[in-house]
Amino acid sequence: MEEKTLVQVKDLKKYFKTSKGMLHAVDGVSFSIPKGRTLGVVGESGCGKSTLGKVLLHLHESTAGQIFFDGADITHFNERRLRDYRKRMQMIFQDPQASLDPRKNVSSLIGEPLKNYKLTQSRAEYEERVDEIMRTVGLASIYKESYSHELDGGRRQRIGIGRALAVDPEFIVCDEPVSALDVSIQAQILNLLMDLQDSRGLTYIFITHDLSVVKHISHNIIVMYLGQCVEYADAQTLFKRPLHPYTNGLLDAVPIPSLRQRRLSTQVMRGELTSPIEPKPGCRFASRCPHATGECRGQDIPLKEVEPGHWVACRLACP
Amino acid sequence: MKQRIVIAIALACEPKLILADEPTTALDVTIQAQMLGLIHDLQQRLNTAMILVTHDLGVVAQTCEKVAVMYAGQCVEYGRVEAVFDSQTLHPYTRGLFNAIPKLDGDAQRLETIEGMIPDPSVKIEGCRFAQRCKFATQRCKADPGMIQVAPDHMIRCHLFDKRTEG
Repeated sequence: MEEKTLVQVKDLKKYFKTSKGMLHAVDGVSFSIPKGRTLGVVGESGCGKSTLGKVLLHLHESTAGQIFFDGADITHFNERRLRDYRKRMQMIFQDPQASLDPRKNVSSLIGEPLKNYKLTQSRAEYEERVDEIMRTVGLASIYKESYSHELDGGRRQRIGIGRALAVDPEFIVCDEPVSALDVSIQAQILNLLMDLQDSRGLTYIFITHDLSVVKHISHNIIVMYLGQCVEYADAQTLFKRPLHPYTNGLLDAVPIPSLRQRRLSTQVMRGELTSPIEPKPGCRFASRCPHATGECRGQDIPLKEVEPGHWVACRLACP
Repeated sequence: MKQRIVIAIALACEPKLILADEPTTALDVTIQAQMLGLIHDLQQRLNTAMILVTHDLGVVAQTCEKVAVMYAGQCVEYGRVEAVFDSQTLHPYTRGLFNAIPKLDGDAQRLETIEGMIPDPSVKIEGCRFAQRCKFATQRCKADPGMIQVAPDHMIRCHLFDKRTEG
């Protein structure tokens, strides 16, 4: 069966103007996501993951490149034409506390998007929809009148998911939705997101720096480093045969909750990120890469397909 | 970088004890590994004791000698990391925590979860505080089991391991 592409991005760029020059937050990223699938985006903080998500939803204007949604090029749509598309694309934020209005109770937080898009005809229908959404995301009805600060992190994130689901979207950008939660609650939220994908055919972009989470939930994964995609593959392949030295470094650095694999001082990646402001041509990872040679610097390294569906931007991985 | 400054401030007086409250939770894995390495080295060099507060069991396994698992204001499990991480004898809550972590080497589709939510801390609970979410809860859980020694370096607050009330 041919999979239908829902979201496609071509050579997307987003630069921010700073006092020191142009900051290349997203620098030429391309990918496509089939309907009902999850694309994981991993990378360190500051590598442009969140900016990528926001540019997709037009929360930031893109600098260059194209965004397609369901076949339409929405890159240069104005607010009026975007409105219909906005309803089909939603976002779940990292910190539910910061993204929820503290003066609204749970039922009006979840009902707000319904009102914004005038999705219900009557008061009774509105109440019914709010109840239905609360059931879907697993919030007991006793919390209808509660305020977000009265609830724990897991329930707050359920409100965030409920708000995103209220308008019946097809595509959701999940920006670190479980990073602030502890593991038992994190597992509940991940299960909820996966159940919703199964029952509604939702398409996700899942942004995180937690590799075990991204492997669990994603079909395909992009590894980002300083605004660029350095490796792209399906989840199984990426974890079995990581090719880019940065991907390897990330995998090595994950603390494993088992003593048999206890190893502290091995293979810690040295050095800090190079500046994303006016980056010089060449591999941006070269300053931290143990294998880097002079040839890695000076010219940009393009993504190459080393095996079907597995792309990597490294001179050493693809001879 | 910011975290390094904080570590420097903490070390300035050459303390005997450092309390590190989620020192790496906001950091991504590569920087986290650097920080944990740094803290570990400094600890060795300055001979400082450390209490590391975290919700990441991986961090505990990589850095600590002893671990105390807390639930709703009480310690439910305490022991040497070897005793806790390699043991099949675990408090039901600790076991739930381990099962809820997505594994890098596993292919499981759904994660196991601990049903329910953390109890309201303003309401006093009689007996075991985890009982209402515990699969193994019975009548006797209405009384606090107290910490029970299950091995020389391992204590658990759970009736399941109490020889006296067994049967």
